[in-house]
This record gives sequence, structure tokens and C-alpha cells, in this order.
Amino acid sequence: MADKAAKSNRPKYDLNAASRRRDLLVRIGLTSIVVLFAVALVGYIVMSHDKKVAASGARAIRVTSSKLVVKDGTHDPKAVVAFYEDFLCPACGNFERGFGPTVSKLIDNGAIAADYYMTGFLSRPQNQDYSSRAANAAYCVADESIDAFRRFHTALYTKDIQPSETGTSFPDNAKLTELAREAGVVGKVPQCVKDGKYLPMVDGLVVSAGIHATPTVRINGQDYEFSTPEAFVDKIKGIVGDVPGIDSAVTPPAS
Amino acid sequence: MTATAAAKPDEPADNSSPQASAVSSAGAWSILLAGVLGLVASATLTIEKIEILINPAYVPSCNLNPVVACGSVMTTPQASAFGFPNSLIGIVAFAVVTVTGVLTVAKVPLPRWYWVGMTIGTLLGAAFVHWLIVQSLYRIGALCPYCMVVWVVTISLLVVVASIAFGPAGDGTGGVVVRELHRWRWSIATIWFTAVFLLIVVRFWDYWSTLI
Repeated sequence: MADKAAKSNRPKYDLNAASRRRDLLVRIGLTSIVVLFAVALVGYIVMSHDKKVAASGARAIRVTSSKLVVKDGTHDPKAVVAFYEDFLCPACGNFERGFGPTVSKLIDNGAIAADYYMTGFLSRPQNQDYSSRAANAAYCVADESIDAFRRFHTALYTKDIQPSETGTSFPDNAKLTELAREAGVVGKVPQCVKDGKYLPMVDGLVVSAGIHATPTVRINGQDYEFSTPEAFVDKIKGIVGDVPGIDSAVTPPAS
Repeated sequence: MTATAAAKPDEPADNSSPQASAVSSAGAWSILLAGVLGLVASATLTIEKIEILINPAYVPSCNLNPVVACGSVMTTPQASAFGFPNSLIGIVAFAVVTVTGVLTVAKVPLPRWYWVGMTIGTLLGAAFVHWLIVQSLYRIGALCPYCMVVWVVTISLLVVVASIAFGPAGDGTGGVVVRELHRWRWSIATIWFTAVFLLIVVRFWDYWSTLI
């Protein structure tokens, strides 16, 4: 055994400088090929996946009423307000609890068309990917009924249901399905929630929409810095003019 | 065959110093460098940990963005795997590595069993580091820069000390497997690092792609 080992060792020590250098170059060459191949392969997979997400696109849940104020001679709404939100983010919860009733009234008055983009912005394994799962469920509900989506959306932001960002327990898919049922829809929702039909889209939303924080509010594509519901109503009034019933903001019920 | 060779360090070998493993000066300096880098990283993590304990609102120097942040990593249960901060283990272990580095740079001959012990210790460290990599990527979902320095240093150090303890240069004998492993050791390490790097890229692609 020892003899054999010694014999098989000999060529190693007999290498002269030139073949040692060649040996080194061969090793560097082969290693680089493997590394480059791995990087290229993974890069290709990641990039093509990225395109798929972008292609599936940012989908909004549009909420309007039959009284919607449109631009003259078209069906385009005069004021489109986009809300980029995350069901986990505390600031979104505060925003919805403060502005939600006013936004709802503006929709019902026909002053605005609301586009809801529910993102998976804060989704992490340690919050059981709640943001993505809840956003997915919202799109599932919206597929069945927009009215149910409005109730579901409001419910998920109530203090009783919205989980703490730093908490340890988060509503699971069964709970989300149950909340959807309470909002008035079943249909394909349980399967859609279970399959995570919109998960890639909601996870890609942050990138495809180019937002840096939630909630982000855009009025006709322009970022809007919200302050108070009254200021928001004034801003909308400046765009659509006087619409019956627009004048007042709605004070959220004390909670 | 490898085990037999390792178990008889006093067996007369081809080279002139049977008790001491010959260490190239590049190897010696890299051990010293690994020890110092690891020590600095562990000490910084420990100091940051103390700052957080004093003031919970303290923002550590390595909080750069949502993905690269040590604050969120340092406060997790995984950062105190044995009930006390992991960085304390690092301070003790890398102090030993630094001393070993100084001794080898000074050409003090160290017995073969010492290098075998170093290899076993570093292997345990590398196993721990890989557990931390998995936790950091897939449970915590954030990267801590100082921790990553420790990842790189520990894995590189394992290659260096294992090749001193078991490499053909050590005692001249050893099987074909050991010889080829030794010959390709830096290729294996490079591919290993590439794999970890790619796992990081894929895991946090959603975030990286917003930066491009």
C-alpha cells in the first residue's frame, strides 16, 4: 500500500517548473469555466424569471361607481387614484383607517376611480410571507366581486385583524379564506388562495411599479403626499370640479 | 489509507522534519490574515451587540439597506445559538488562529497533531458557519456584512489548515483522493464560494433588481 502510494506520488514531485505552470493554468482554466458556466446559467434563469414577472405585469384592482366623472367624450376617468399598499405595513393600516371612509365616499360619488395595488413589500419568512399571501387573497376576492374586495380590504386593515409587523402569529391561508367568505365570496377563492395564483405578480409589484415605500398614493400617475382627508378632498375637487356630495371628508369612527 | 497515514505521525517520512509540518510562507501569512480579519469582525459584532443592549434604538454601522443589515440579524435567536452571542466564540477562536499565524510566520515548528487539532476546530467552525448561512438566507432573510467576513475567512482557513495537516506536502504519503483533493483545493473552494454567492443573488433577487 505504502509502496503504491509512493509510486503514484512520484510524478507529482518530478514535475518541472514548466509542467507545474501548465498544471496551474489547467486548474485555473477549468475552474473559471465551471464558475462562468454556473454564473451564466443562474443569471439566465433569474433574468428570464424576472421577465415573466414583468410580463404578468402590475395589475390593479379598479374600484369605481356608475356615477364616475369621465373626461369629455371618453370613458377615461378624470381622476385615477392609485394606492400601493401592503396588508402588513402599520402605516398602511393607519392610512386606511384614517382615509378609507373618505376614499370610499369619493368612489361612491363618482369623483375618482381607485386603483388598488396590493403588494408583498414586507413579505419575509419570519412573518410567514403574510404580505404576499394576503395580497394574493385580495386579488382572488376581486376576481369574484369588487364589492367583496372593498369589504375584505377594509376588514384586513381593522385593528383586530391586521397582525403586528413584529408579531409572531399571522393569519394563515385558511383564515384568509374565512375572511373572504365573511366579505361575501367563496367561489374559486379557496383554491386561488391555496394555489397562490397571484403570488409572483404581487411579489413583483414593488419592482414593476417602482415604489419605495407603502402606502404610496398617486393621483393620475403623480406621487401625492397625503396629509389629511380634507386636503385630499380639496385636491380631488381641483381635478374633477364640483361633484354632488364631494364637499366633506368623512371622519373615521373613533376606535 | 488516509486514516492510517494520519494515525502514525511519528512514521519516518520523506521530508527532513518528521514531527513538524512544513508551512509555506504564503500559508503562514494567510493564517495570520484570517485570524486578524476574523478577530476584527467578531470584536465589531460583539461591540455592536453591546451597543444594542445599552440602547435598543441604536442603529448598527452595518445597517445599509433592508437586505444588508446586521441589526435585524444580531437580535435573532440564531445569533445566540448557544445562549450567548456567537461573536464571543469568534473572539476566542480567532485569537487562537491569530497566535497560530504569528507562530508560523515566525517559523516556529508546530507538531502535526497541532495542525490536525486546528483542522478539527476549523471544521466545526465551518459547519457552524454553514448553518448560519442557511439561517441567514432562508429564515432571517437578511445579510450581515461582518458575519459574511467570518463566513469567507472560516471556509478559506479550513482549506489552508487542512492542507497543512493532511496535504501531501505534510508527510509525503497519502492516497490518490487526498492528493487530488489537495491539488484542486482552491478550485473546490472557488466553486463553493461561487455557489454561496449565487444562492445569495437568487434569494434576494427581488431586492437587487431594484438597484440595477
